[in-house]
This record gives sequence, C-alpha cells and structure tokens, in this order.
Amino acid sequence: MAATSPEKRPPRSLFDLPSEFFDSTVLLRAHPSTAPSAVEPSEPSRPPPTTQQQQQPSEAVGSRWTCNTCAAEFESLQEQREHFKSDLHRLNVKLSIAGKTIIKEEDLDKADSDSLFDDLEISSVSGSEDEQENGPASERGLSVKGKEEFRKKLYFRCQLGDTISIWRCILLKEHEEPFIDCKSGQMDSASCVQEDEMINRVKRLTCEPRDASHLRIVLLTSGGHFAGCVFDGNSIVAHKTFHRYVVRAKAGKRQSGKDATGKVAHSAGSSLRRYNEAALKKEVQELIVSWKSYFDSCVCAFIYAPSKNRQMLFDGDKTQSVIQACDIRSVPLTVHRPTLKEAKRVYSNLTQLHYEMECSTTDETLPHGESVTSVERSEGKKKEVAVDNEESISNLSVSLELLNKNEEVTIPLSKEETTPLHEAAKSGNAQLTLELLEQGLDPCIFDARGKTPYLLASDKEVRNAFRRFMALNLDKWDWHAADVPSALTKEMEESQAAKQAEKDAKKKARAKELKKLKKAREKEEKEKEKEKAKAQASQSQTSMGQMANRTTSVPGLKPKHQTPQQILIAKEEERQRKLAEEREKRAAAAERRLAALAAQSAGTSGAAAAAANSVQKAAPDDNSCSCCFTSLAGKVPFHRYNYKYCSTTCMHLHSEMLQDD
Amino acid sequence: MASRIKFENSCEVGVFARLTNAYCLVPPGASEGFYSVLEAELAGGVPVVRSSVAGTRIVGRLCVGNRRGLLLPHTATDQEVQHLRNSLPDEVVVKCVDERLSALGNCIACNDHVALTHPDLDKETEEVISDVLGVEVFRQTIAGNILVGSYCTFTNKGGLVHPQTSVEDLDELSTLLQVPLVAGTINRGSDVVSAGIAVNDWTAFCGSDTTATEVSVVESVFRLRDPRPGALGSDVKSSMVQDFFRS
Repeated sequence: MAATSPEKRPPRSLFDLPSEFFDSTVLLRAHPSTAPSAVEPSEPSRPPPTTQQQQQPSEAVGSRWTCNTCAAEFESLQEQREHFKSDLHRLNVKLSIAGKTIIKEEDLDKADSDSLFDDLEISSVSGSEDEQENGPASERGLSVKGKEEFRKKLYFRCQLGDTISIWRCILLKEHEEPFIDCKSGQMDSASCVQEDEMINRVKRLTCEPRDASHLRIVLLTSGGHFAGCVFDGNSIVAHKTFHRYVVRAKAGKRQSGKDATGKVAHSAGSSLRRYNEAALKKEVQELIVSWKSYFDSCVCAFIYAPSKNRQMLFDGDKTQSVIQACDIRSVPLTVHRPTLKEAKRVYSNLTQLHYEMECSTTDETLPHGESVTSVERSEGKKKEVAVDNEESISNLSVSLELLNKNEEVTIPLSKEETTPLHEAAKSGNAQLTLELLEQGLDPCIFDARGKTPYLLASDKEVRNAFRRFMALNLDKWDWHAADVPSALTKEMEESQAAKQAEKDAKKKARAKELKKLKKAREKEEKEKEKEKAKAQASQSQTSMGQMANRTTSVPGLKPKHQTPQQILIAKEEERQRKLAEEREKRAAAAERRLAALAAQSAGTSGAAAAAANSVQKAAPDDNSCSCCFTSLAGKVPFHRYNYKYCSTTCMHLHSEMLQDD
Repeated sequence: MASRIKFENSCEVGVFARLTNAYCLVPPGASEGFYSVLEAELAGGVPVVRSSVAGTRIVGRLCVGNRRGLLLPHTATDQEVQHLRNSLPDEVVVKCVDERLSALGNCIACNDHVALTHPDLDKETEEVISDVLGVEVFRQTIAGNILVGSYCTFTNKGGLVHPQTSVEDLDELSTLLQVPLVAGTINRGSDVVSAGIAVNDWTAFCGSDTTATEVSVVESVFRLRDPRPGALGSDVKSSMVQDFFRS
C-alpha cells in the first residue's frame, strides 16, 4: 500500500500513560483505514536479567578485566563476567563476526528504538536464531493483521486527533461485546458494554494503583513448555517456567495421545515421555495452587493452552477452582514457544497502545475522497453517524479493491518507463494489447531497456495486433519509432490467407503424389524381392544337387536332403568332420595297442641283455620306455635326451647303464 | 602424564572421546587397544563408558560435560540416553538439549566452573548449561572462530587455545576463566586443538601425531607432570574436597 506514514510513533505501554490521557476520547466503530499501521512493536529493550553471581574465590591469574570485542574495561572480575553474559556482548560478538562495527553501551538504547537490528539482519538482542526463522517481526505482525484483527482490537480517537488501538481482551471479558457490535436485538442484554463504560475502563487502567492489587497473569503452555508470569503493571511479580520432554522431536504428538489410540508403545522413549507428561502436569498444577494468592487478586488471566494443554490446567479440582475464580481471557496473538521471554512479549504487546495510521495518504489516490472525511465527521456526531460511517468504510474498501485491481494492471507504473502496453505485449495477450492500443497508449515509449512494446511481443499474434492497429491508425503514432515494421491491412491478411490456402493445397497435392510414388516404389520392391527369392531357390536347388553328388562318396551319410537348406548342409559337413576325427582317433589307439602287445611279447621272450642291445640297436621305440620297454601309451613320459621313460627309477637305471657302457 | 593414542588410524582422539573428571565417554566398536590404553591410564579413577551418541561415533564432538553433568544433543536416541543414565555415576546428570546447533562439543567448551559457548546458542540452552553443568556461561569467540568448543579446551588446571589467539585475548580469556591458557597446536600443527586431545585434570590423551614439543606444552599447561601417588593426584583430591565443601 502507498500508505506508509512518515512519522510512525512507537507503541506505548498503557501503564505509562498519564492519567488524563483518555479524557474525551471517542470509541471508533472500526479501524478508520483498511491500511493498518505497520506492525507489532519491535521488542522493547529489556535490561539483562543477570543476577548477582557469587564470585569464585580463586585469585586472578592475570588481571586483564577487559572485553576486546566490545572494547571495554572493567573494575573487577565480577563486572567483566557480567558483561560477558550480557546481551550487548552477545550482539557485539555477532556484529564483529559479521565484520560490522560494534555498538557501545550508550548507543544500545537508541539502536533498539530504531530497530537497528532488523537492518543488520540480527534478531532482537535476546532472541534466538530459532525465533528469527519464524520470520521478521513485521511479517509476524501481518499474519495477525487482516480483518481478524479489527475484531480483536478497539479503536479510539483521542483528544489530539490521534487514532489509537488497544487489544479488546484488555478491556472486555470473553463474553462481553462492545456496544457498537451488539445486534439491535441484544441491545438490552448485559453482555453489551456501553461506550461510556468502556472509556471509563480505559481511564481506570491508567490510574490503577501499583500495589499488587491489580495483577495480570499470563499462562502459556504448549509442547511440553510452560511459562507462567504474574505482572503488576509493567513489572514482574513472579514467574516460573517448566520444560519437560513430552513431544517426540520431529514426530509431534504427545505420548498420551498415542496411548489413547490403544497402541501402547513400550520403548524407553515412550516411558520417558509418559513420565514427563505426568510430571509436567503435576508441576504446573502445584505451581497454580501455590499462586492462589496472585490469582485471587488478579484482574484477569491471559491463557494460551491449545487443545490438550488446556486439560493440564483445568484437570485438577484445586487448580480448576483457583483458575476459574478469576477472569480468563485468551491471547489474541500468535504465541511462540512458551518461555519467560515469550510471556513478557505477549504481555507487553497486549498492554500496549498502538498509534494507528491515518489513511490520509491513501486519500489522494482514492476516487472517493469523502469516505475518510466522513470518518472524521463522525467524531462529532457519534452514534448517529455510526451507520453512515460503516457505509463509508465499505465504500473505502471497495475503492481500495478497485485501486488494487488497477494496480494489478499498472503495477510497473513505479518503474517509470514500463507501460502496461509493454506488460501486455510481453505476456502475449493480444486481446489486451489491442484494447490498450485502442485506449490510446503510446506504443513508441521505450522501457528501461530501450525497447518498444512491439519488440517485447512474445508471439506473432501480438505482433499482428500491433500491425493491424497500425493499418487502421497509420497517422496516429510514429510507427517507425515504435519499431512496427509494416501495417497489416485486411486485404493483406486476406491475400496472405489466400496464399496460405494455396500453399496448403499445394502441400496436400505434393503429399498425395509422394504417397503414390511411395506405394509404387514399394510395389516394385516387393516384386523384385519375389523375383530374387525365385532365383535364389533355383540356385540353391542346383547347388544342392552338387552337394548331394559330393556327399554320396562319404560312407554313412544319407543323401536324403532334397530341400536346398544351407544350414542343413553346414550341419551335415560338421557331422562328417566329427566322424572323420573319431575314426582317426580310433585308428591311432589301435596302432598303439598293437605296438604295446609287440613290445610285451619281445620283453618276455628275450633276455634282459638282449633286450638292452636291441634297445641300443633298434633305437627306442617311440611309444615305449627306453629302459623297461613297457608301453607308454596313456602315460606322460619322462624325457632325457632322446629317451623316454615310464618312471624316474627307469631313467636313473638307464643313465647308469649308459655310463657303464 | 600425557599419552599418545590413535583411534582406528585417526589421530583426532578428541573427536572420538569425551573425557571429564567423572567419566570418559567412548564410542563402541573400536579396537581393544584403544580401550585398554584408556582404561589402564584412567585405572578405575573414572569409568570408561562405551556408547554412541545419535548413532554416531563422534561422541566427543556431539556432547559436552563435566563432573556434574552431561549434555546430549536432541538427536541422541532415547536408548542412548537411558544407557548413559544407567552407566554413568549417579551424581552425573544426563540431559538432552533442544538446540539447533547439535554438535555441542564444537559449540561449548567447559570445565567444572565456567563454560565458553558459541554466540548463537539459545538462551534456554545457556540456562540448561548453567543448571546441569553448574557453570557460568560466557559467549565468546576464539581468535575470531565461533566454534569455541573446537578451538579451545580447558580443564580446572589450564587450557590450550587456537594458536592464532592474540596475546590480549589470551590474557582476557584466562582472566575470565581463571585458568592459565596457552596458545598452541596439537597433532603436528593442527589448530583444532580440542579435536586432537582428550584431557581432564590429571590425564591427557593426545593424537599420536603430536610432537614431543606439543606434548611437553600440554603437560606443562595442564599441569600433568606432578607426581601422583594414587589413581588421583593429591592436589586433585584436595581440589575435589574443596569443591565438595563449596557446593
């Protein structure tokens, strides 16, 4: 929205206001503008809650009581240690790591107020990274904003003309409705609070005595965390936080919820969680009972306990009676992990008074300028104008919506030279382009990159839109400057269409011809193939005849192959070869056997010496031992020189015999 | 005495072991040699507990503790927590920390009195540290490094910090922590001092790459040279008695 007021005032705590602040304030029907003031307040700077730690009794090793990061010097070790625990030190450490200049203590408050930390992308001083991930404060604020928030807040116009807002839950009980929200039928009911009464309540707020008689209690609990805090005005009277391991990390769901489904887990973790859940409940209930005195004297208790967490607070009889005795109100804010810090944040936020922005800045851009002024007029007339007021607000919202719509089209107005025509051309919306051209938008304007809308056009239809428009309005713009090359008249389009049709017809004809040709070719090929097959068949027949002639000479082969199958022939040949091999083998074996027989007969008949001589003379037979003449058939012979032996002993014997010779 | 050991061919013993004055945490499944050296050296003075943390063996980097307690990251399984509760001495409190930075050993350095922490740790984690370990917590950096747990290690007797720590920072830190500090290296020049050493008040285990010079620095700054009559040094006993009466 355009409405960002130059002077944004920080919210103030209700309890810090002067008592006459609310004199002559007027309750407004609703927020005067639909543009809410930016944001939830930045975290108020809070003094580090360091308690005095007892100093260790050891003597100083060196005595350099400094902090090099923060460039500070200290009087004592205790001071130094306190500094190292402070938020300032932590912030400075972060800053120095990020390579930025450190902040001095004196500047810290100032820095806090103008939300320096947001600029530096560092979360609020005491916040953790975790919370930073939840989004910057303003974003968090926005999530709450919207129509919802208008119901949760009360708007006043005070003396000086400022519009301020207070959370409704501060003033009203859960069931109470402000007078203006009541339906006409309920006018008489007790739950409606008249305007004077409301103003009175606000006034009473500012002059409450701070003597622990008007306490406010904040109880937050979720996910195994509990934070309870008792406030008296802006100061904390008592606080306590608990944390128990109740929800399995990343798996969600409590153990009791799981147990209730009937599937009772028996893991170590489940028993831990079961125990912790019970322990947390007990601790919280004990705490509440021990805080009975606070609850008795409190104005109201703000409770945040989503779903099952509520049971934890209200289950016990004692706690129930304690809590329900006081006025329970729910927290209208987003609550993060319940910690003391969060409790403080919630409380400070609830008890703050926000200055709402005037919508005077949006005023100028609005066609219905009077809508806002009517709000201002309504101050004087109060109730009577209320209805009119409502109308004007609805008017305003409608006009704002209109503006929004317009903005959708003309978003880039802010980008100076990019016109809607550029956008339309870029998006490829020919219809819109033509409409815009007809509305009289200049197609010659260059955008930031020095391009005209025509050059940005993404498809032909858009370009044609330009050219058509050019044909109709040749003199309106300098089309050369607009980079539109030529006009596209109707005749041209018609002729083009005719040409196109002709082309198409030609194409079709050609395609047909091609098809015919293809078919013819295919036919020819088929015929050729047939012929080839015939030729092959005749050829193979003749060759088979030859083969058959050849094979008849081979014994054991039946020349029964009449078909000219080449595979069969190959098989036949192979078989033939195998047979031949086998025959040769058999022949060799037979020869060997014969030789062995001969050798044996020779060995047995002749004397050893004769045998030796015969060996020498008849040169050792190839297939028998050179010493004992046994057949070497089937054995691996031992070789020595040219002799062969059946065994090593034979070899030695024979070598000795040869030496003797 | 400082001994030189290896964990399965790795010299980064500080990664694989967490040694405190009350217990020693080691991963399961290492060689018996590693365990026997530790057990012989610690000799019944402190129990050597074998447990993984979050299913990993880098127990020294994932958890942090002193004689009062042990902090585990939220990634530690329930079984591991239960096992540690059973096997550690009764007076040691075991607690899981809900912290985004789960390598607590890299983010926190502590002895029995003070702790240095990563500047980005949660406030809640800080509270847990001071409650469970009974220490004062300071957020600090070591020579511009935010991983204080990796770049420094200190006991009640002394400490070793990143070699590039300036003299001013060294003085400031030793004043803050009230222990003498020395800037030095481990494992033949490694500046990740905490990864190369597991140390308590009377024993130190360095990676086996550590040079004699480095060992002598370690022994002198952690005051390990004093002759000790029993399993515990006499001075240790007296300091523990002192602590006992104080707390």
